[in-house]
Amino acid sequence: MPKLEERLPCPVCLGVKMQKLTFLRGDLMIDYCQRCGGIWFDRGEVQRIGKYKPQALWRKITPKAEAFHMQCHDCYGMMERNAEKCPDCDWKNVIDCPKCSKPMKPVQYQNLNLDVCKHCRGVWFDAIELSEIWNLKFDELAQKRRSLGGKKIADEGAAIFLDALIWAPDLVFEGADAVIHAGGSILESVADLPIGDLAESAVEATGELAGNVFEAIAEIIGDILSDFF
Amino acid sequence: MGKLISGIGLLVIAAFMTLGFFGASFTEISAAVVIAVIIGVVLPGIGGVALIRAYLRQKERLSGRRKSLGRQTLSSEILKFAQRKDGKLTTVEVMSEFTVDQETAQKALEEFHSRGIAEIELTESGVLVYSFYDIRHLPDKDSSRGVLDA
Repeated sequence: MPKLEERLPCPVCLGVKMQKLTFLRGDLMIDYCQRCGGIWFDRGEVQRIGKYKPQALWRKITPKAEAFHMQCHDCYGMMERNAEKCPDCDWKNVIDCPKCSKPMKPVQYQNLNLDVCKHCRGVWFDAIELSEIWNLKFDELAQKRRSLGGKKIADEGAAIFLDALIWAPDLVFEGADAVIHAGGSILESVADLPIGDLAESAVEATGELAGNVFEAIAEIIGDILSDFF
Repeated sequence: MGKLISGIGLLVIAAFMTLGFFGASFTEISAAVVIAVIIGVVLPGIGGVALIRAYLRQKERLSGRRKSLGRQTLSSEILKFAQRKDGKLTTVEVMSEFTVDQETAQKALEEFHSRGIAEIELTESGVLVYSFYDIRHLPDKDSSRGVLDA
């Protein structure tokens, strides 16, 4: 009988258990909170992501705009997820590791605020950090695609898609994610229309984007852990 | 954490001073010696114990607050789940959806019942169902009117 993995509690929401996203026939298992959109990476998990098509992974993850706020664990007031302290009761914003329940160390990495468990070497990414990385990689990809300039129709389509999103930076994460989630159906429904190329290239672009995001996450975790240990 | 470190620091000072007093050779216990013991040993010792106790109390309090917030979050998620299930839930459904044990699921649903948010119903086959009246009637909210007009 296969061993059942215990579902871990979300360190931010408390009370709800995270969903296990299983890939590579159980070789890769990511803990994802459906409520706040945060992801817990166990030690070594990110390295295994490289084997998997990240686009398929993003289909299972939905960004949450409201998750940029959280309830204070002491006074229950709403506060910014990345605030150092609760503005109402001065509770120090330190969350506990979902695995070993010990307080995690808040770590500033470039513009990102991450939480690292020194004991089990896991890293917690809030939805806001995931979207920051997403937006950063999106900008890089948009620049790269523009510099290639109109070689293929697919690339032009992607450029239009990226241009459209760039005018609404707040929606970039949600927009690109929506394309990933709806990618298959877009392709089916618009196959005979001229915008078919656009949808196809948008899905291709977001697939590349998702890959870049996971590469970035792997790099960040590698850097943070090498600083610690 | 600051309180814990300060408390331990004060206890270390008290212990160090106690060793010093034992090592010193007093011919008689004068008022000055007593005052020195109070200042060097008793006060830091009391301060250290008080700070450590305050730290432990604060930790316990925060742990209780976290548990309570966890229950609130679970309740909120159960209500959302009830909305997806047309306002009716069983204990088994809550257990399987939220990976909680029977006692936790039962307790959460019973709390809704005791607060008047859910009613208990029985199916013909004897299954206990928690029915959320407000959630079942959510589609009616568009037809709401002022109390005096109703």
